[in-house]
Amino acid sequence: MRIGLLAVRLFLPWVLVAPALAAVDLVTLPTREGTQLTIYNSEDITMVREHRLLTVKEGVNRIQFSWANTLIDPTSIEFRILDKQDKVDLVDTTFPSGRNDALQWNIKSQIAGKIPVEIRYFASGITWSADYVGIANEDETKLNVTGYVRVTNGSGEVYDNAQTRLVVGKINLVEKIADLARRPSPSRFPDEPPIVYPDANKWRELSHRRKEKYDALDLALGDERRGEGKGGHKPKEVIKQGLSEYFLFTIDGREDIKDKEPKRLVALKVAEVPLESIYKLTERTGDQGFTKFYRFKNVKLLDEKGKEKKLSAMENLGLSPLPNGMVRLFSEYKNKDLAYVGGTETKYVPIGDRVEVNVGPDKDITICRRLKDQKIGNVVARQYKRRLDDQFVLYFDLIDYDETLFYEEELISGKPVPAKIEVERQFDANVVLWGSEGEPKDWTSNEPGAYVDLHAITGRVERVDQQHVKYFMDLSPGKKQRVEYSVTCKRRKVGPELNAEKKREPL
Amino acid sequence: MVKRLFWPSLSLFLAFLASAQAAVDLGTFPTREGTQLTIYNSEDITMVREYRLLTVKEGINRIQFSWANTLIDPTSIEFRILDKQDKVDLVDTTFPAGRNEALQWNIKSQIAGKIPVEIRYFTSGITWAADYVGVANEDETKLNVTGYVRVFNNSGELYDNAQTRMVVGNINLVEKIADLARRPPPGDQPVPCPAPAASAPAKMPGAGARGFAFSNAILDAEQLARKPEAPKEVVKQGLSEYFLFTIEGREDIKDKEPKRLIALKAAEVPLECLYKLTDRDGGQQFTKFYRFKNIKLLDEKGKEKKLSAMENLGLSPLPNGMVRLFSEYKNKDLAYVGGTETKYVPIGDRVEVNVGLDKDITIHRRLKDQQTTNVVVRQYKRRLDDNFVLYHDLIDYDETLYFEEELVSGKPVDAKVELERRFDANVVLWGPEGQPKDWDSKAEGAYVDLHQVPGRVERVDQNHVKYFLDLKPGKKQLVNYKVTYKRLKQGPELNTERKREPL
Amino acid sequence: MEPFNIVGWTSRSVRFCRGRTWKSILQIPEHHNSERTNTMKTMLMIALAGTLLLVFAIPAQARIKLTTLPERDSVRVDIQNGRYTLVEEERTVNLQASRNQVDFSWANINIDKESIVFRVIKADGEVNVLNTNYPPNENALYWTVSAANAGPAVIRISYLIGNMAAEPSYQGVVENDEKKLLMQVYMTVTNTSGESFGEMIVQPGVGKTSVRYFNNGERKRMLAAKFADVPIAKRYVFDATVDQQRTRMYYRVINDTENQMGGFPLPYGKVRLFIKEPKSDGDTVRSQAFLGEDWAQYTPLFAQLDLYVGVAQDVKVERFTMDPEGGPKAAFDEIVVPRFTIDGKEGVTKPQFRNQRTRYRYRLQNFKTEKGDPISVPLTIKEHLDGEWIIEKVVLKEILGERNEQKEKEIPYAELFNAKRIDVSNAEFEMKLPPTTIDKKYDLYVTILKKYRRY
Repeated sequence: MRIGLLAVRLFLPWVLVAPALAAVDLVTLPTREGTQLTIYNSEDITMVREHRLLTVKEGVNRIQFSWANTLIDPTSIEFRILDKQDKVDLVDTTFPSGRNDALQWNIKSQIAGKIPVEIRYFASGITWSADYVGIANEDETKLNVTGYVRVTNGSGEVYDNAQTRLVVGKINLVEKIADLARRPSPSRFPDEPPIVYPDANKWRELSHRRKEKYDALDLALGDERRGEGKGGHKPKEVIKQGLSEYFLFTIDGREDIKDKEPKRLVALKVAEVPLESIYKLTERTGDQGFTKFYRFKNVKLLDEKGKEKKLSAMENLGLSPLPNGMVRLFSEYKNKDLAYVGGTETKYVPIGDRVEVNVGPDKDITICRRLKDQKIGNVVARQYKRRLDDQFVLYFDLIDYDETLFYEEELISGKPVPAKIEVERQFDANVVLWGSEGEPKDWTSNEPGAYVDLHAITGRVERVDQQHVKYFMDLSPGKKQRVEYSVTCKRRKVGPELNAEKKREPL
Repeated sequence: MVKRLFWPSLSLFLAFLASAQAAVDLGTFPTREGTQLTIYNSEDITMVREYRLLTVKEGINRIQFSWANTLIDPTSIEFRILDKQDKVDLVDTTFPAGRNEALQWNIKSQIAGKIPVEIRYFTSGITWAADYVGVANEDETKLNVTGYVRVFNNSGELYDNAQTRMVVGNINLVEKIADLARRPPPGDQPVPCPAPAASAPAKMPGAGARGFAFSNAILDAEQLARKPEAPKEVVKQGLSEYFLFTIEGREDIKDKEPKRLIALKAAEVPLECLYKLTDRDGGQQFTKFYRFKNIKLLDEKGKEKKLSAMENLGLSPLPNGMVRLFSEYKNKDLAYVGGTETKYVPIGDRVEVNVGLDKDITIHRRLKDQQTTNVVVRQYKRRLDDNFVLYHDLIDYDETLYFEEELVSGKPVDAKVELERRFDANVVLWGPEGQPKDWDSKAEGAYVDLHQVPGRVERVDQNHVKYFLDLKPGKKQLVNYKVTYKRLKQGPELNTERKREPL
Repeated sequence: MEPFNIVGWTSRSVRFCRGRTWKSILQIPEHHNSERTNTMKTMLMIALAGTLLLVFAIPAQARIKLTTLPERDSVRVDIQNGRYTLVEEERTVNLQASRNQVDFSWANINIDKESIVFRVIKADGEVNVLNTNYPPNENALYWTVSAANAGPAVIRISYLIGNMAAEPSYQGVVENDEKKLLMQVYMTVTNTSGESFGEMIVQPGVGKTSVRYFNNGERKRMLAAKFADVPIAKRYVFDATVDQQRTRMYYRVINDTENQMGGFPLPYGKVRLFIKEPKSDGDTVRSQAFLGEDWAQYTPLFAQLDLYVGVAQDVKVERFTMDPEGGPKAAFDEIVVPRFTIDGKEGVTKPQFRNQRTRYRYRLQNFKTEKGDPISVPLTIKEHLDGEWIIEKVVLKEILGERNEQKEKEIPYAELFNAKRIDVSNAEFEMKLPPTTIDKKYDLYVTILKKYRRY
């Protein structure tokens, strides 16, 4: 342990010959009574809280806190007296000259004895992430979801027996903790040797050493400790709590967060979540075929009667958001054989919102779009006049015309169940849409634009924005479904210049 | 000491041997009986007057004066016999060939004995500067001003026991004394005498008339024991366009050792704080100014206080110099307010010291809205060449901008603020005096409606308008105003039409 | 020659930070307290009149070796000015009647010697400073001081040194319900003066702290001010120019007394926000979680301070640019104005100005819950505009169902929506956004008419 807390009282010169890397070994060093880690996943920041029992004398006590070779943001270190605040005061926090790996607290005490204190700081190097495994049944109507959290410690520091909490959410961090931790002390003198920060090799070396130590410890502790989380024991509960815009996942009990030794825990295990498959095609991505999505809702599970099932928080949805993470999807045949469906990243899903997982391109549903016909109508030539130079005027014609394209889309689903599809089309001009709501007022307008006639379509039609239109359909298995629509592009002032005629005429 | 006055003429040869080093120690040269320095601060020039008792023989006496390693302008050296002018005459001044750090005076005397003489010359390297320390009280209503003069001597010469006078004012100097002092001798050519290096100070009235008043400058020791010594009086006198500050008594003006003396010590000068903001320098932040008047101090009844010249204002101008301002809390703690250069302040004028940017008064200006109205198209006609006329349309319109300024003062007392805003057209101002006659005019310009501003409004020039406000402490003050830019003949040319027509 | 009296005090400069080892670090410099004077580098010495020449003959070293040490009564360092640091030291000196020479010298500390102010705070009888002298090539000066009576006098020497940096930072502790916070202002002062001070007062611009020692090169973090129960307004802000995907959560505090602040303009600095957690078992003290941090801009009195805390992932806004209602023809309004021709006739014409119409659609979804229950949130949508404009039309639609079953319904927006003109360049649409589900969401349409645009 290289985070040392050192209390030195007035006129008590401690002589300590210890290399920077070695553990600070002082008789008066209060041990950590408890540690709490709050790990964030959007940024490389972990809040560490340590509780210690500090022995103070009456008068002014000076306590040194040093953290060589760990990445702690010195500006974040806070000292809190937890009891007898009326008798014990923190006078100031002093950063010694030229160092950024130590500080001193001056504490004024009216009593002698032990006082509980809290030390809080931000460290870099510990992260967590979520990941999911989803197993669908054969006809893709139900999904078993297991959510995991994985804690990775690359900080170079072991936090044993620590309460571990994970924050789901994106905090705003204006400066990186790792940078703050490495930033040299502003008052460092140029002739001083630079402070050596741990590099990856040293970390590895250190962690290796520590690992050996802990392996030995593990052996010594025997089965009791190693048995945790294994068969026969219940997996640790992960308690979820809302906090401002975030969610706090607290892992029940205490954990040893060892350096370079990722730890994965089950955070969620939900069975028989109603699953929906949806197939989308959009011209925004340039994909030619459909993409399959699994959809389920992050809401509390209901039984067949539509009542909320009585489930523990670990076994239910809709009680906490689902953090972003990797999802691996399988589908399980009746004979319990698994098939790998796909893997993808999901976004954060709030409570009540829908989880939509991109499963990948789907070849069972085919689409064939044909431009069946095109017609040009309402061709009109209009004369325009443009000055050429001081002498000439150019008279020319430009053409207005309406070009109508007739499309046919042929969709076939090879799925055994009805397939819900969604098609988004793009048009290269401002769209005037004749959709499910009926003919628009400006349908006969003479303004340029793409006049899209989708009113013959069976499903609903939706305008997305100026250039995009969506339609929805349900495809029955093995049936051919035709969709016909037309778009009239009203083109105005289309070149080239016709009947160009140069005239010498007074202007 | 490198300057030597040689006496008698017999020593001439010897003196030449001594040459530029001039470390010759002759026993018979007359010592300085007194020295007077008149130091200018606008230019690097100091007039030195030395008073010596010269022992002359009957007949022609040759006196050598040399000044190696000093920065004396050779053309400025003057010799004056102060007594028995009817019996003793200066025949000529000779500059030895090839040298510019020595000269000889030939004196014809009808008597033998001691005669008082004055040697006057200009030297460079001695300067003086004024500086001030102002300590305001906590609420910045009173200021204690201490004015200092600081004399720097880099001339290479020690002037001990010298009467020191300083000239406040800008003299005209056509050549630098330091250059003149360093100029090599003009070869074999005779020096045309005298080339006045500085016209103004040479003709200074009063300087000669004052003569030497060196005699009673030594302090009375008995007097010292009785009461504490007051700082030396600095006597101030007007002199043509300048002011002459004379330090009471004598000073040792040592080489390379600046000396700072108190020239003024005025207590409880009524002080005013003013905060200015102008678009001329960005218009984002207020600058704080301290203001006080260089007039005689008054007591509570409005009568002039009876104060010595050192403790009063309004009796002499304040020379330009560095000002450092502090404010003093009731517990005597100081806070540094700022430091700045001030200009010369005549008697009766106001001293305005830029204290620096002030962050306690903040302003936030918002363009809340804008509107375009009265759009009109007018046809114009322009000749193109001998044959063509161009008819075209231009647009007139009014554009009204609505501004809101939010001012907040964090000062504990009322704050006087002054805001200057710039408008990019000729301003027609509607201030508190009422709507101007030409408000409804169609003429181009910026029609600034500031009539709802609570304070006074002032037109500064064609483009600038100032308004004055007193801000209450800790209150938000909103100022709303609008400006209508009447824009005429705005391009581009529309509907251009060319016609061949007789002009 | 008169007998002379020289009083001075001295310093052996101990630079704690140089050549340090672990050993020296752990021997915490408590001795600064007991041997405080050892660290002082500014020295003061008094000599009586008539000793002028003698004092000149004594080199600077000799003065330092004098052993009678009058106490430095107090030291104060004032960093409020922002550009200069003012040091004030108060000392009691024993003056002789008549002339005294007060000698002041320093080492390692970068004093602006032109700035030194000498003040007599307390003395028996009148004391006058006659002049100030600057011996060449020395970090020293001497005053000639004349006293009416012999005896002790309290003097204050004030001078400017190169600026000592004072860096503000804030810590906000938010109540669990996010209605109020405790705002603590810290100042971190770095002693770059070159001098190690003993007991002293530091005034870093905000607040005033008494410290027991302050060695050269050290930094000290001190609590400078504290505002309790500061009301906070939580705001959900969507600004497509900042982030097209996410809504941000801001806290707004107002720097005035009504809102429990307003003591001074808040300086620029980093704010770290923590939130109190609900009390849980096994936790003797309420735990706090880190909420996020932001730079606090310089905030004058009455001004609001907006702090970006983190992403509000439960509040989703999507922005689409739509055609104006009424189709392509409604994109512009032509402007017809009078035209005066040269022959005095009046007609009308269409200049190259027109009013442009833009319509935005915001798809709004709110999955925010509090203790498991869905709640409304105050959402602010920012749009950046320019020139002359008005908000022409607002339509709020409730979207029920999905896909083929989707139904749209226009609903009254007066109680939910408020459009605010901040200035010509900024508009804010404030929405009290009710909870939504997958099957119920809102579409907000805002049509903006930008007037008199040249084309």
